[in-house]
Amino acid sequence: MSEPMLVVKDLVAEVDGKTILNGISLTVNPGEVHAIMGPNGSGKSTLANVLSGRDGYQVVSGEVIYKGQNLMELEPEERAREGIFLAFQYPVEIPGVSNMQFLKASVDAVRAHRGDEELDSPAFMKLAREKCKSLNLKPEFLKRGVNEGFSGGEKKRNEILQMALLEPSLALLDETDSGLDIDALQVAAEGVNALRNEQRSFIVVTHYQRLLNYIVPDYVHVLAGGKIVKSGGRELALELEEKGYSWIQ
Amino acid sequence: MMISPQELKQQITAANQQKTGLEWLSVAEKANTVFAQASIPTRKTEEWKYSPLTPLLTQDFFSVQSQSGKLEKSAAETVYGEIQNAHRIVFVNGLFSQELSDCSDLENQGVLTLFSNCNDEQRSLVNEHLGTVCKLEQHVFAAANYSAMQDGVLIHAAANTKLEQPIHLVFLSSEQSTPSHAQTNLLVVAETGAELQLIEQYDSLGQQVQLFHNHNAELVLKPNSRLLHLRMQVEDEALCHVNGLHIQLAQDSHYEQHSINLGSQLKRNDIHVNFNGNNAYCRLNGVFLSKHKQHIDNHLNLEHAVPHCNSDTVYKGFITDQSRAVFNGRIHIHKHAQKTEAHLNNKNLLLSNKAELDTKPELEIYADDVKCSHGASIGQLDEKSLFYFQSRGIDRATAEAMLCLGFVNEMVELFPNQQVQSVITERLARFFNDVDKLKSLWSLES
Repeated sequence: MSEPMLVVKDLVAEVDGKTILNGISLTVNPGEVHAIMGPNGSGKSTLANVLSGRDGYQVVSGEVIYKGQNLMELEPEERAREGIFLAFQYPVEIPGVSNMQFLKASVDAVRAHRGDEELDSPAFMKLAREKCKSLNLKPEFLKRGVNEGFSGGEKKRNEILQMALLEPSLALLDETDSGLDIDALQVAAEGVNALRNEQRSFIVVTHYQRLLNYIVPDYVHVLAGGKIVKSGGRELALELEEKGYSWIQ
Repeated sequence: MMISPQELKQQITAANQQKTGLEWLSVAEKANTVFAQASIPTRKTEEWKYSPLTPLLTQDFFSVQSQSGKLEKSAAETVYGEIQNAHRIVFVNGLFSQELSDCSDLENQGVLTLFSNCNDEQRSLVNEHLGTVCKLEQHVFAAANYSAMQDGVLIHAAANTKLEQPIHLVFLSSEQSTPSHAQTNLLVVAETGAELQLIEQYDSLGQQVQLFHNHNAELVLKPNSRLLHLRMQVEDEALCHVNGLHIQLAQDSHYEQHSINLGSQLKRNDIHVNFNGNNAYCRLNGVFLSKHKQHIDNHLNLEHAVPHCNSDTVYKGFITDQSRAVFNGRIHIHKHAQKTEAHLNNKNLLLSNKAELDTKPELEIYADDVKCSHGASIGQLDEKSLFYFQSRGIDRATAEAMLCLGFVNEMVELFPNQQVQSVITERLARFFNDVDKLKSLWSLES
């Protein structure tokens, strides 16, 4: 059996002295898609943030092993270079830095870490344009400031575009469906599905079952009060939708 | 050794005794009198409160008038050659260079000439306007300039003409072994319905340019004329530069300025805009950057004296290390200037706890039917944005540099000229010289 992609053991994490994650355990194997569902405030986004290394989250106890190494010892940029990707719920706008500049800097950093050759500008632009096309984004999109004035759908598709360029091992999708209409949701989901393979794992954080119609998970976990209170297969999400979160609490 | 302001005044007065060949300038005599009565600003002078003249009091700029010296044309062209399809007029250390300039077309058409080459008609045009927009009593360095300038440029756009190519005015400074001073002048008269573009580039070749450059300009926009003015002050940091720009807008005229201003030992920009006719418009977009122990002071004053005029002013500042920057932007709405719409904003990024910024947006309104706003903010790099970069594998130092460039670039992108943008990009890369890698990113074309 291959090594797990991610092992989370009894993870307890605080924000401003308040316990948000209260003993989470989770194992994700290569190629698996895990959905994390749960009511508002259950700690879903916190889990994604802790894994990506955002400041302001204090890990009190427990451990997180990613590809056999202690993830918590790595800086956020090191995690990204090691293959962790967070698709943000609310991507920030960075006026004055073009999307192309941002993507190039990012891809350069990750490729350099992997020991891959740096892509020259024409090669990179060609690649970026192709990926844009597949996500139904116009090439002008690359010239604009990072997320500047993007619609909600464009911001989310930009996250998927970055993911497609960085080819992560473990992608964390934080409420990628929020603020998306059905069409945008389908495009985003297709972008994700195109990246699914036997080596790449996904953790899909969502409030609604809807997204899971498009990105079909192997496992569904329900988070409540900072703990996983129920785990199951795809059908658990459907049951939740029918009965509501009050059912498991 | 440090001299007193009175001694500085004596030095300037002595320096200004030199014959200039411009004795026909009627403003010179008045300027002489004004300067004789004026005092050199000190820290007690409100308008100069945050900009001590220490560099002028500790280095002797005034014993020696600047020399153009020997400059290879090929070297000079590396500074400004990127801007093509423009009429070029080049000054080296304040002195006109025939060899480097390329503006004979405009000279033949009577659109452009040096003060020293003016014919009688042009002399009377200069005398009609010079010193009418700029209030010498309020600007001691302008008074010094007008009493003994080395030379000036007259640009005269005839009524209802459109200059297709921009005029590129280059003030190049080069390495100087001893400190010296230069005084230059510019007068633009855009007649009714005229339209032109002016690119000003203050730049240096080499380092340790010990020059005090005192430049003053008056722009007279007649009814319905348009001027697009792009300014780059990107000289060596050893230079001292005091720059006055006085603009008069007649009815239906349109003035738009974009500027980038790098700090130096001492840099002071005064921009005064007088609205003299209804429906005139003025846009001032500027970005200033200072590092090391540089000093940069931006003083803007918009006099809305008549009704139905609009202005939009946005200045951004980037201040780091032990440098010091000043922004003072004033909108003055006179009693009769009803239906004015005027907005002014100054946003700053302060990156070091040893840097200092003094910002003062001012709004004085005496009319009762106007729409105005003013504001200023000082901030640091946004943590959320930095994390976004880091989450994509970009290290923190690069992320910081990219965010800084982005902050500045937001203003650079507004320059409506690709060639000028590209010159600025190169100078910025030099300014942020530790981020070599960013230059290639910056020039990514799509």
